[in-house]
Amino acid sequence: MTHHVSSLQQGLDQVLANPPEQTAQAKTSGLLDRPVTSFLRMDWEVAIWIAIFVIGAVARFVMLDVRAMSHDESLHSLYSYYLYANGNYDHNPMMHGPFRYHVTAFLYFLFGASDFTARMGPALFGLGVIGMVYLLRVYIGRLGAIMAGIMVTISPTLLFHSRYIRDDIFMAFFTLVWIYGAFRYLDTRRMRYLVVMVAGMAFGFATMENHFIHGAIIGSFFAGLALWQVVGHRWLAGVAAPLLIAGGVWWVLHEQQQDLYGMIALAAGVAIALVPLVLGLRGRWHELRNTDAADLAVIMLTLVLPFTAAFLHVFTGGDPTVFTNATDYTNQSMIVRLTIFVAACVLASIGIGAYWFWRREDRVAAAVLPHGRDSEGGVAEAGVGVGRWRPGIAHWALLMGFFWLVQVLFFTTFFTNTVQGLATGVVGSLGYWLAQQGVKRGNQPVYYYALIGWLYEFLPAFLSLCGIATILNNLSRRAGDLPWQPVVDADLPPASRSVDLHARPASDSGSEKSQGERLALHRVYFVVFMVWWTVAAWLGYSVAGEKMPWLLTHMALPMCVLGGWWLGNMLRHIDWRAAWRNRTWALVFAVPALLILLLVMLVATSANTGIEANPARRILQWLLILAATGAVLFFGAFGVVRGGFKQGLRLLAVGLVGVLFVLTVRTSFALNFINYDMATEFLVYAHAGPDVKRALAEIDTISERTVGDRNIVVAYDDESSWPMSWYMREYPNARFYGENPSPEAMAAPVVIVGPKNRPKVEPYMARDYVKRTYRLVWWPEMEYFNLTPDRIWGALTDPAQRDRLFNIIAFRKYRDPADLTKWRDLAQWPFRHEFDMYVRRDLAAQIWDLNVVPLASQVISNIPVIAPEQMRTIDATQVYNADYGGMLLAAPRAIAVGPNQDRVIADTGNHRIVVLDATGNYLRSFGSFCNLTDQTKTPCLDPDGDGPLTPGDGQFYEPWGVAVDAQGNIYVADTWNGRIQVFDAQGKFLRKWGAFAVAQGDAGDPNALFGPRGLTIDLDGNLVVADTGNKRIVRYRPSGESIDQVGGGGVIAGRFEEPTDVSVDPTDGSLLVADAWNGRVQRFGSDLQFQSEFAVPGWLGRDIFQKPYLAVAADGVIYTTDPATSQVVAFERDGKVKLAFGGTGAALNQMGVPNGIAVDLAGSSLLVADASNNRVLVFPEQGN
Amino acid sequence: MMAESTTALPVIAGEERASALTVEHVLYTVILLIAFGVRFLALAAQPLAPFEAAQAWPAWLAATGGPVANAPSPQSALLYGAQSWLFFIAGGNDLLARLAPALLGVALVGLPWFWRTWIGRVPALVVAAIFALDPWLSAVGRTADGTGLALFFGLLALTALWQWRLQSDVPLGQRSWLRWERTLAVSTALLLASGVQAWSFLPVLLFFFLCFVWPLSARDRETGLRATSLIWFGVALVLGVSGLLARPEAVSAVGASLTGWLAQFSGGAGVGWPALRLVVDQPLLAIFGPLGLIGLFAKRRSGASLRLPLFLSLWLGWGIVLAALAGESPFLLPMIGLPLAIAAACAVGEFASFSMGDVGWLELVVLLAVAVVLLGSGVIWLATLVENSSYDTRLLATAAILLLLTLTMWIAFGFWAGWPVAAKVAGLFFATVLFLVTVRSNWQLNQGGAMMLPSGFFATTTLPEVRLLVSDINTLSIARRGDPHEAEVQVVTTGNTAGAPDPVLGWYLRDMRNLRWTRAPETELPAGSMDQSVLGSAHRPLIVAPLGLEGDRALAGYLGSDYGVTSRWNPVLLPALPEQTENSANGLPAAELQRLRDQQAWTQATRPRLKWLLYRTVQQPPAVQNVTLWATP
Repeated sequence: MTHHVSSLQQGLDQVLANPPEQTAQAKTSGLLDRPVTSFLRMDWEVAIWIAIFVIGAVARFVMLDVRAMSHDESLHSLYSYYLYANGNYDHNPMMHGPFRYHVTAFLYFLFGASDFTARMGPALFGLGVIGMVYLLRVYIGRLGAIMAGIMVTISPTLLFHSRYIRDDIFMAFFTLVWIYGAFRYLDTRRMRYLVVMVAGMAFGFATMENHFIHGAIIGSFFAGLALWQVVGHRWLAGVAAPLLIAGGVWWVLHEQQQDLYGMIALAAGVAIALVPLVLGLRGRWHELRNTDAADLAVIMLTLVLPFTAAFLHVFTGGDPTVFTNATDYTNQSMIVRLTIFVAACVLASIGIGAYWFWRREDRVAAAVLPHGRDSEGGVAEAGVGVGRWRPGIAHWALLMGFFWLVQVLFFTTFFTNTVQGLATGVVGSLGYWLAQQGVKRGNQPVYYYALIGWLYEFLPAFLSLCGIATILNNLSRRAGDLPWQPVVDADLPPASRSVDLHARPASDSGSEKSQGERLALHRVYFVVFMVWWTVAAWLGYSVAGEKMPWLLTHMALPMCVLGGWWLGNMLRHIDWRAAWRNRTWALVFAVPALLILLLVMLVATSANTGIEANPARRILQWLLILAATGAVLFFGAFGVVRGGFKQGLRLLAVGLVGVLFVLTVRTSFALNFINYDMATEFLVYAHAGPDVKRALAEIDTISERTVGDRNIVVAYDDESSWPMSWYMREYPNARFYGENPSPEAMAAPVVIVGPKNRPKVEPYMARDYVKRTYRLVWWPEMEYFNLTPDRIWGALTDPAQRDRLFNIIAFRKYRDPADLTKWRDLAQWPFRHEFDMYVRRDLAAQIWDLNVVPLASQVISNIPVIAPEQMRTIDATQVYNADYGGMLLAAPRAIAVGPNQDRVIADTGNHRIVVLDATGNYLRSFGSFCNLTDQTKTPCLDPDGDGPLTPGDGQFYEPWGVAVDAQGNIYVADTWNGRIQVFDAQGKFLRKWGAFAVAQGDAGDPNALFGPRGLTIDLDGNLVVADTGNKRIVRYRPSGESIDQVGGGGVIAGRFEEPTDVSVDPTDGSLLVADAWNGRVQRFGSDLQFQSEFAVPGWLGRDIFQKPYLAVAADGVIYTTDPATSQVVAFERDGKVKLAFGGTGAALNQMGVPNGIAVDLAGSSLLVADASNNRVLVFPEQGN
Repeated sequence: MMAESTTALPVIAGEERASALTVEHVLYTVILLIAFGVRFLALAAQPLAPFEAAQAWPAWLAATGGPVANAPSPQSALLYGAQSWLFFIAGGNDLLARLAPALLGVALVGLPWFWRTWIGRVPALVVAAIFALDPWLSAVGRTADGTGLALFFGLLALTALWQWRLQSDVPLGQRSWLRWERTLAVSTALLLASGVQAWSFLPVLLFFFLCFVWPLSARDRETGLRATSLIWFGVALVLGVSGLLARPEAVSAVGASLTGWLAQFSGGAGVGWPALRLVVDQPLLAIFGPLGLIGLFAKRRSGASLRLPLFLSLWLGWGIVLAALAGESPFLLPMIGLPLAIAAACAVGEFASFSMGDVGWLELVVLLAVAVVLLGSGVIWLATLVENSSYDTRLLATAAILLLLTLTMWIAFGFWAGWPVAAKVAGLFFATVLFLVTVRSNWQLNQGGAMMLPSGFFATTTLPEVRLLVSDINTLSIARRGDPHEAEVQVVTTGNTAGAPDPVLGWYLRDMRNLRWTRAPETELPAGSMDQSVLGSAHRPLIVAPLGLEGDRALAGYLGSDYGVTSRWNPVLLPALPEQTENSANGLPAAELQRLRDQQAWTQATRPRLKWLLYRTVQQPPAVQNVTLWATP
């Protein structure tokens, strides 16, 4: 050994006698020394695959974050973010399985949360799909795999959804893993491939519910294969035909909402199918149980069976729509019910599994080779399998455990959401989507996928049709004979090449086959499976109620694989040397040449060319085109004859495929890198418009220039919340106001609102904000609904319609259907949801140098100030704070003066009304506490026993308003009971109306009162109520019948924020309203039409007691209270400050919290309810 | 034994070279590509920090021939020379300012290739991977500062010293000293020219010499040191400190760097700062570094040399002393990180040596799957706990139980498979987990920074708003003078900076042709008169003044707009635990009082700290230094 070591090395060894790694790294170092070429054999195939991967990676990662999040993307991104940032994720079937959320959260953990990282998962799995196609070389040939790989790489649908955070590309990957594992198991019968297959199943079911469709496709294939192997194709046809027919009948009836008859038809079909099944299997059951394909089908069935508990729920009369809301089926009773169903399914699964795999155990155990490896000797394909490994019950249990471990792990969010996660995962995931099939989200027609599929996936569609035709043709010709080779031997990886298939005859069962023969047979199975996969995917997704463009992924994938196989196979069969020799290679260019000539012809005959004016030129052009076409046709035919018919056809097909390939690249590039967020593309569905990122950039600019970073306050509503909720996570001061604009939210410098909430928000915004409207989410044009032959024919025969169609297909340009001479205005795209962004005018004026147009020209009046010379020191001439009826006043909030100068005081703290005479002597009091909504603690009194009055009549819960009419009747705002009560002058209860409620919308229910406060009697004797919480003024007749109302939330004229009081101007009958939080007094005519407004200094207090009131003197002077500054301010009629007096304190010239105010017109005095000092002060009126 | 050595050691100079591209080559290539990506991705996204601008601005002034009085002087002669050449050739921008450190930062990652004979091949590979994604090295490599250069040339000198020493093991006649001797000479010379942290690295070279060279016999130390090597050293030094002779004034930077090195020890922060940064940024090194050192020392029992652990310990000790003496300087952290990285790599290399023959695939898969589940579940509970505004002991208990379960599982595995295997598998598993955490830390530090997401690594950072200021000045200039760079701009300096111009403003306003620096008046002035004193003329230029300078003395006839220029934040500013007084009981039972106090501590301090530790989010924006742009309407 040492003779290999140089002296230099010996020296090194001495010095480095003990390098740290030396002890036990020989093995690792051996790996490091291993030439890369021992892992990666570099040849043209590898080089092409590397190129495909590089192109695939670039196509999937470049500009990954340039597109704004679509509606669904933002949901998925944000809930992944919650899992990452808060550990908060509860599986909800509405948003599909949990796997993708975990993957995305992990990527956030590594690289932070952004649009790019949110889409990294799909991009990586998109690359994984290409990788899986590479593994299919053993079934579709090396050239076929390359062709399929290229198509997967450039497929518009697959590429688009590899850049889109939805589940579909994950599903494509896991479906391929599932298929690969199953077929490789057939080839090798090794446990590892069962694990691979179950991994594809497990992670797929944890990702999205359409794995049930894939399961049905794959499972039914292997079940059919097993039957075919045992009973032959005739019996199989006898079983399948009634099932397919019954399925078709069911679907037709289901579409006509005749579900009962549909189910009967389905049951009949199943019953009929059972007959040939039983007859065919008679005496062959043992064979079936020893069939690998049957093993696979049983494994698939038993693993998934517990998921079908939702079916049991429906079949036992349960409401399928219960699964639309997780809270409806995660209550205790439902959990018990569903647990029983799940347990039944699990038991059934265990029973089937045990029955199927148990009895093999002892025999299999003896045959198992070390480490589960099988011998490579020839054995029967579908035969008894003696000497070869087959799964036993322990293996089945292991697979079952693995499958359900993955489900439980992800659905329970790593055991952090156990009960609900299991319920929503095991039962809800399938149940919800069963319920949704009836909803038919998107409501697309049955031909939807056919339409958009051909629009985007024309290359794989064409190739897969060719593939289907080829396979059917070969199968029909070779039925019962040795199957043909779907892949020529030379196109297979060396390890997978077969021996000479024709050297010795073999059949499908009973006789021995070599490994190569088995693989060859499995390739036939595989291409048949591809046909079944493609057809069944189209049928399944077309029949399913919900049709969405992203589901096209699951049709594009099998078409790419099948089309790739066909193309590779076709290319392999071309004799290129012969084509070069006899020059028929030129046929490749025939189809492109013809297509170009066709295009020239179309352009030449177009109505827009203006050539009609020159007939000679037109004729010449026609002649030239015809001559060229004739020449191409002639030489094409000549080439076909010379090179042979098949060879010629293949060369022509290459040309056609080349054209389609170029067009596909163009389509894919336009979709993914130009029109990625334009609804002109049919795959851009319910997607955020480009305006979203523009608006966000503008917000960033405003924020940077005003408050720095992203600290600006942005308010957004429920209509714009997707995708805004995702983006607003970066704005720490963002405010979500749902559908109820609050004053706080409406004070934000940037406000975002959707169309539904526009009417609510505009009153706040119109004055001080500028607005711009953006496209939030939009949909493609959907004029393909209700297609009839007449419509199609009309579109094809009408030149204008044809032109429109051509522009859509070729350029995604849309003419306006109303005027075909014009293009659709994308800003006015009819299928869109908008949002408005309001920016406060002062900010916009400074920095928002866009063409913004103010909504209104109103300018807020300058807020006046109280000049020092306007301040007065006025002492109260009288104070009402004595013992009245056995009690002192407690926080009196309102006061009114009756016709005989009686003082009617709302003794709010004592929940009663106190009446004094003009000199302040106590006359009477009435009322006590009663909270109508909580009578357990404060039982209300029934004033007349069995009489007509009800408990609580004549009682109050904090009365904040009183008014007295000309007859001396007293009206009381029973504020927190939300009603008006009327008493006669002696305090006898007369009537009541109103209930504590939110008025729904502007001009809502007049009987709904939300904390009514100030009252006044207008000159017509009607009662006017400040319905503070409902932000309105309501007028009633004395009887309680409503007359009219004005208001609603907002800052514009005629709207209010916290209107606390209303008072009538005796000079002209107009009404003045204390619009407290807008800091102003508004004047309305007697018809409640807005007349004018003026700003009030103060009124800044927002707490529950700081409610200002107002009163108008005989000369029109307006007196207001300001509880926050403990002042009374008097205004001229035009709003100019006349004077102010008061100040915080308890002296005669001071006040605590002044609320109610009234003018004694006869006595020329001013009465102020000083609530916190528990008194009423009487001041001399400060008139002119 | 010999055979093992042969396979363990790489092919080195003088031996026949492997002709094939090996896995090792590919792995190093991938690591270098990752290092390149990490250092160059969005390299110019963040504006230059003040200390970067202080280095780049004088270089730009030198390149364009526009001296400014009192402009900051550079502390890295080498970077100054490189930048001035780059700016001269390609114009000034943020990317070019950071180009040299970024390139050398990538090159640094390749140095472990030459350490394979020193620490072993697998550890060398792991060191390279750690270097590539090391948050601190990445940050330094993305910073226009001399530290990145110093680290590279320091490690290059170390490498050359090792290779030079390695020749002593070769028979005399076959030694090839010259290449590495010259490399040592040049790298040492350039190290001296590379700035402040060069002085931190010199003792490390001395430690290496003492550990690896000094013990050799005189014969073995026969180096044949040639005079030409000294010439190489001298020439490299002269060229390095003079910007290839084009910037002789840069020589002063060598002295300035020594002054700067000493100056950074003015306010010692103790070991708290480096310990915190180590835990936050480098959990892999924090745990596996000491483990590696212990492991290396433990090998003494099997007859291994103590030189390597001794050297690493000395280096680490020196780094800790430096970091403890300095006032929260991020530039000294690599002096701790580098020896820990080497030690950690040795530990990981040891763990990686386990053979699959020791454990079955199935049990390994099950074990790792359960470990991932427990860890994942624990992380989710922890995230929930941190997100909770109230302190919930149940969540903590759940997370703790999961942790205990993890430990129990590994212990059970130890009984099952034997302790050595269990230790190695566990070591590899946790090394992988911590490596992923380090990747995340790297991202947070180098790519994820924002005002409300401060990393706190560099306490003072420049805000992107400064570019807005420049953009607005350009816009105003276009409007008034028809050219974005023609308007007259006066930047007011204050007494706080001793009248020295702000390097950030200097760097970003460097293209303004009529830029003037004006010192603010020290005395109070009557309202409205500042413009006269500042301007001293009838001109109405644009004025950039620190916020608050004008106070009540707004410039008459001017309108102002504020811009944040720099922000300052470091983890010290995280909320402190509330003080608890004994007399605040208010008659509450002791348990209830304690619960309330715990709740208060959680809300006010613990939770914000955890949120920063995990997500780098803060609740209060950092302090911002503003300037006002004044312009006449």
